[in-house]
Amino acid sequence: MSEIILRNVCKQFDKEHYAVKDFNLDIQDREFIIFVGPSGCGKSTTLRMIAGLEDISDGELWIDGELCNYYEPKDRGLSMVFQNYALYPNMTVYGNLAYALKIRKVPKKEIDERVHKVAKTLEIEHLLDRKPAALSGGQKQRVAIGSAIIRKPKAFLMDEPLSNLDAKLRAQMRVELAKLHKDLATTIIYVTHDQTEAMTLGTRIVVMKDGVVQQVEAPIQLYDNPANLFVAGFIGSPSMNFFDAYVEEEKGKTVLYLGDQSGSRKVYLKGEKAEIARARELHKKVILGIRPEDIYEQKDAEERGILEDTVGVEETITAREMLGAEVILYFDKKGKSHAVKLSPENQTQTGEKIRFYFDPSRIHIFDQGTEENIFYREEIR
Amino acid sequence: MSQSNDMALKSQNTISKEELLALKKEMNAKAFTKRRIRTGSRLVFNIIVAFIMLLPLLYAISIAFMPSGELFTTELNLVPKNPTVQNFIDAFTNVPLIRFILNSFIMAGSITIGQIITCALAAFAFSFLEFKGKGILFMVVMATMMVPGEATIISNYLTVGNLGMLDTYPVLIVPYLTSAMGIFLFRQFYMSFPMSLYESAKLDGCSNLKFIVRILIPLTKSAIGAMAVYTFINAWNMYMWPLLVTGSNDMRTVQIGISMLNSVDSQSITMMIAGVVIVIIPSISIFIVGQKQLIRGMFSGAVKG
Repeated sequence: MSEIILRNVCKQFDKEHYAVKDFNLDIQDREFIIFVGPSGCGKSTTLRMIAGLEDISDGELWIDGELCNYYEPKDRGLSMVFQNYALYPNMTVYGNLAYALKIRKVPKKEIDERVHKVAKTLEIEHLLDRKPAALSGGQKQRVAIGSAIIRKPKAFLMDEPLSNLDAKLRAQMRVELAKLHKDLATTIIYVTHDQTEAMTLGTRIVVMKDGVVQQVEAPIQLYDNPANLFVAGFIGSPSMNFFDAYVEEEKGKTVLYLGDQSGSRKVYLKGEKAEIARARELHKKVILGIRPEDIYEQKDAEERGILEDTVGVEETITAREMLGAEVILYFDKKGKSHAVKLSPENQTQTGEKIRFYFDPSRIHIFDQGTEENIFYREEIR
Repeated sequence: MSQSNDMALKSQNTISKEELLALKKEMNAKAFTKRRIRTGSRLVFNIIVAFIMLLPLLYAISIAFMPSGELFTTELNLVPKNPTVQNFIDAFTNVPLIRFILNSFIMAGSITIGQIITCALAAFAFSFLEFKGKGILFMVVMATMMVPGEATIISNYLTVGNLGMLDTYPVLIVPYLTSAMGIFLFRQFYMSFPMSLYESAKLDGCSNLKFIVRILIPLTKSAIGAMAVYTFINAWNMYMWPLLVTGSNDMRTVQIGISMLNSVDSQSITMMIAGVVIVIIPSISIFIVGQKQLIRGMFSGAVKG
């Protein structure tokens, strides 16, 4: 049982500059929390404050009902996996795994048992006599994770643990981490800038920007229901397409004019989205956001019955990426690059024109000033 | 005409297996001799340079075995004609050389151990701990390197004199128990040490001292080795300070002892050289033992990281 609560936690480096500002989060037992954001957004700093490696400038950190702001790192009962593994090079794998227990004066017999058990779980039993220098990246990573789990901590803190591995190994370790989380049934707080890791591993994701939490949500909600422009653009690859648009009324229907007010390129909104947009942003400039996979070519649009909703969106393709299972077409609009994900049967080549259709039910509208998603509903959680 | 051309081309293009093998052999042999000549000439050049550099030392060893009459002749005597160990015996009987060597060992050994401990601890604080005024304090420490030892020697002498420490072991050792140079050397080493190891140790429940003893020191052995050799040789060769603060034969170090072999009344160059040869044996042997560490210590930061 471990519950970590952060209340208005701040990290201040000097008078003006906050690395982390008013961080609030309730982490439940057995959650897999991901801190994600661009570099310098304060995610690592927050993790290090929880670990006790950085002082907390302001706010409260509660671990299992105890105020831990001034606890020494070793007394917080947490263990951490570092990006560069942080294995002791002078000790064997066995020594590395056993070290934390040895310091805590655990009886030798118990240490031995636990080391072998952990080594078996992580399939590193045959490596116990080796020194870290004789291990590959993936093996080092396993040992690092092993020395974290052997202490049976209240929670694991992981600071970009997979970013030193190659792509294939990273995918493999990702799956294993998810499995490990299930087996160990403990809380994990995980920092990454890789949104694939964030989406696949997390039970909840904390998106941060400039030291401020933007949104805390389960992965799929985050994807479908981003709170603001930043979250919408950060989560998803290729990222969401943004267009300048105007909300207007046309014969009783709510319509978005794309680009200019001429009305030659437009998207009709339907249902609840139309009502909200009319109520909040009528005759106003907004930002339209739509994900690459929610844009269709004519044939698919026909099947989905959305053919009539988009008018006049025809673009020249500037790049084409064939990924096997799908093809991604890029087009430029006012210097911004936009992407469309289509089925690989589409044969449109670079330089050719193609007509696109937006799925109006998947459109997001962001306020030009506040950059908030006007369709965002907090109660969805 | 064209036919013969074709033939020539054909013969050029097709080479039999034996021919190919012979060609390979020939090329290999050429390259091999070339390489041998190159290695050989380099070796010869190095031997010549080494001989020139070692000549004074070799000549000193040779003189140490010469009867004193042989040295002062008009011919060039590079090698003793009648080798003798009398010079060594004289050196040992004229002054208590063994006592001096022992004193020097005690002094240099204590200084070396003391410097390693204090410098390692100070460097740890300067590189791993965060405290107010760290930068300024480090600058002050570095600034002491800029002050030449001679400038403070009088005030140091007066201090130890007033403390009544003259002519004891502590007076030889205590002033040299730490050095800015050593702190700087260790700090440079620790800077390249991954911070996450320290943080990981902290999370594991390691105290600072335990971290130094169990992890930092084992991993910076080469730095310690380099530092030990450097400090020991420096301490062994110290002259000015021991000369100033020691007065009795019981406390004198070997470098002073050597100068005592030089007597105005009965000067024997061969005996003095014999004494010098005895004195340089420890420092040379320390260097031979520690040279691997010394070189590794100097370059490990650059290569290993």
